[in-house]
Amino acid sequence: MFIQDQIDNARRRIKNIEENPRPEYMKTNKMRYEIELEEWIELDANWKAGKPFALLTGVGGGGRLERPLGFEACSLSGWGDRVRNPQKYRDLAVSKFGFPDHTCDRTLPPVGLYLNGEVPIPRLVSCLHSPCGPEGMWSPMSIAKYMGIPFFELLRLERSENLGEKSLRFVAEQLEQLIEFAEATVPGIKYDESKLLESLEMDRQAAPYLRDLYELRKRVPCPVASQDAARLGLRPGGDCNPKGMQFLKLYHEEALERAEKGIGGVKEEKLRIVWTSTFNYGRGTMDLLAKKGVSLVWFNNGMGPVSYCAGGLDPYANETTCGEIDFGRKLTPLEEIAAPHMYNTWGHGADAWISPLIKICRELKVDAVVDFMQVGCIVTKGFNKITADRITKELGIPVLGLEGREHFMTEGEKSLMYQKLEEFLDLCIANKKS
Amino acid sequence: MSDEKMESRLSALVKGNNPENRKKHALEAKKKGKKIIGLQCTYFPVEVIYAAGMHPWRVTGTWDADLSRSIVYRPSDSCQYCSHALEAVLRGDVKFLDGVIGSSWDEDRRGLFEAWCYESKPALSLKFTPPRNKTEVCERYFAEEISEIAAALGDFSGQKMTKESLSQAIKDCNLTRRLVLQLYELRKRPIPPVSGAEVLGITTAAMVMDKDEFNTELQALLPYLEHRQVKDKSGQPRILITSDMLDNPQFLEIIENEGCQIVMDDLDTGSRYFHKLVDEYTADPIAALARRYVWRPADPSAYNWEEQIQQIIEWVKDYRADGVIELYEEFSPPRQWRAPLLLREMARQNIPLVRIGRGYDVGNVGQLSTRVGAFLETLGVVV
Repeated sequence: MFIQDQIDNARRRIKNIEENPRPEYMKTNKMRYEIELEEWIELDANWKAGKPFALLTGVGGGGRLERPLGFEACSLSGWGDRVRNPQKYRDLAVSKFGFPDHTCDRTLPPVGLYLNGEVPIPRLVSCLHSPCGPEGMWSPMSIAKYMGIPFFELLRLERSENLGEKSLRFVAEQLEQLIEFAEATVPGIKYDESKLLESLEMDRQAAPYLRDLYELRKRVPCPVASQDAARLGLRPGGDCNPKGMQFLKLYHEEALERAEKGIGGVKEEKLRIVWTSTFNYGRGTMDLLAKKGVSLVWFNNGMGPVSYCAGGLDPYANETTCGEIDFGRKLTPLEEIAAPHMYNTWGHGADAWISPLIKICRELKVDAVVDFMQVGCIVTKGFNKITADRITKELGIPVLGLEGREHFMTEGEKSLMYQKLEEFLDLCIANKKS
Repeated sequence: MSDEKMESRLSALVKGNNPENRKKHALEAKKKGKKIIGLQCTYFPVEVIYAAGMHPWRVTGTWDADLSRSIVYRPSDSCQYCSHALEAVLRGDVKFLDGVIGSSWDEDRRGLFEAWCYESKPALSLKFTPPRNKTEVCERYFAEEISEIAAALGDFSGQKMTKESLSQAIKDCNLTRRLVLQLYELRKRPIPPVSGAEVLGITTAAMVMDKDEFNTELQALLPYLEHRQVKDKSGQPRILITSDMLDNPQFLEIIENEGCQIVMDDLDTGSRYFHKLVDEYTADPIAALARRYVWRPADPSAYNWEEQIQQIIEWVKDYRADGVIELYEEFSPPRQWRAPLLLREMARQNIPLVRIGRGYDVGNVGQLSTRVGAFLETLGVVV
């Protein structure tokens, strides 16, 4: 079963780190897995104890409200990414229930998990119309509607020039309605603003470390290993976990120490790349990058706390500023959690996706970009050519459009993908030398 | 007028959105001094374009299979409407457009808009948020968005929208809706006087033709259609078609040629586009517009899947359909994610349903015919 698999996996990883430490990876990763292990054990206990769970998705949506409402948090792709046998859950979702088979690899395994009863069934589901329809909107909606779970939908305004009060107000107003809906629909649920304030305060404490970690990536060699660059989220254990905060501080300390000593994420850094869009899981890509001396200095997926610090999109510059927008007033707590939907670089058009990417490439002294065109990913579909054109023109660095999948690749497909990647990297390294 | 002449007028209207005709309507409007605004989304309130003195023109993609230009931008596993629409841009087929309005109907649609603007750099490019929720807050914000876009359109055309011009545009568009709904009523008959393919031709013509011309033509044709003599297909299964971005009547011809009558549709290019009038008597026409577009029958990209399915069920009953054919666009996600719910609810209602994947161009005719034929056989309607 899924949760027990995660518990066993976390224990295995901790043991592996203790027995076979890899100097190119951060030592603090051990603490990360320890926190994750505790989190899985606690999740399992809460489920068995019958505590209410909620699946509140969407950057800027209800996803910060689980704890303040008194729920335990469910996840979608956060869980789906970790299944040991994604094919099993995909097959279940497609063959037994009729879900689409050509969609992003991250979306079907979690749907299969829920339909198979291996994770807690939420008592409430909400989504914010996400930049990623399949992950952020349709898969949570499908789970809710198919399983008869109360569902609350939030919208955001699309127009990319619409970054400001109106957009903020629109989402914040709906968050208020979400809270009312949750309290009215799920017995025993009551909103406690003090818990949200706690969580936001922890964000503020985290922000300087996240900003600095971005700055450290500018160093040559990049002190952060590729594997660590591709991790989503730097505060394990949930958004209000003091241990997660402690981890972040230690992680930052270690990254700083490595930078000061000139220790890189690869033995001899020959090339610095950005990997953009989504990522294929498994060791193959990381091992290839390490073998070639290629530092993945930035994983650009437009989301996550670190990316908010890139391109000047710093949500916590001061009390009235969110990203590049100065509202001229202190935001309410609900407005603070709504604001990120505006500067999530996914889903606001080509310029919103590409301009920050170009800035990151400049600042991090990037030599090449791998634009991963994941089968079924519709978010950056249609932007790939524009991305390549603009990066090549404005930065003079090459871009590889690499087709692949996150999970479901045959050995032949993987082999072809790695061949293309390797050829590209070899060419870039050769060009850089000359 | 003789039946022959009426048939000729009907045929011309049905072919209004064919490749050889759709551009013609735009160019005629241009000759009258109007700017042409291309629309990539049927949720956009065309009334504000009319009120700004311009001509709205729904973007139809290329109908042939060649995507050699757009494939550079869009992988093959992409929404084919978007790929064919981009192909039209890249071929230079829509150079006459003065502006384009896109939406976030889904990510593919957003991608189309971005690639379109990158390539063709239109003088006006606007993107809006289609209403996905039937709520008061959604209505309110959509009304604000309509106001802002109307102002931008007025600046572009040089003819600012007034309350009077908007009210008139609403009346004209409502007239179109009333006329088309009258046409739909005729489909409830045991022997509908129009085929599904003909109706789709007419509804898509409405989205590219001059409003007055379309209204005049349909007004003239309706009395004729009331008494039109058609082949007796009374024994054939009555079918409701559900799809998105289906604008080529040939799909429906192929289906009807297998031996059925398409008596109703659930299409954004058909019923969903015309159902519900805008309140003409309100003091706030923008709010009335927002209300109509929020509350019209929704596309699968909207949140209210249960209501959408219930709407299909009601139409099945109203039009006495024997079965439903869902022609889902193979790489368009919203409808596909809704599918398990649709399958389950149709089964609960004992409404026969078959789901058939399609591209945007009419390729693979044999497979479509075979699957439709097999489905019709299962319906057990006595011929």
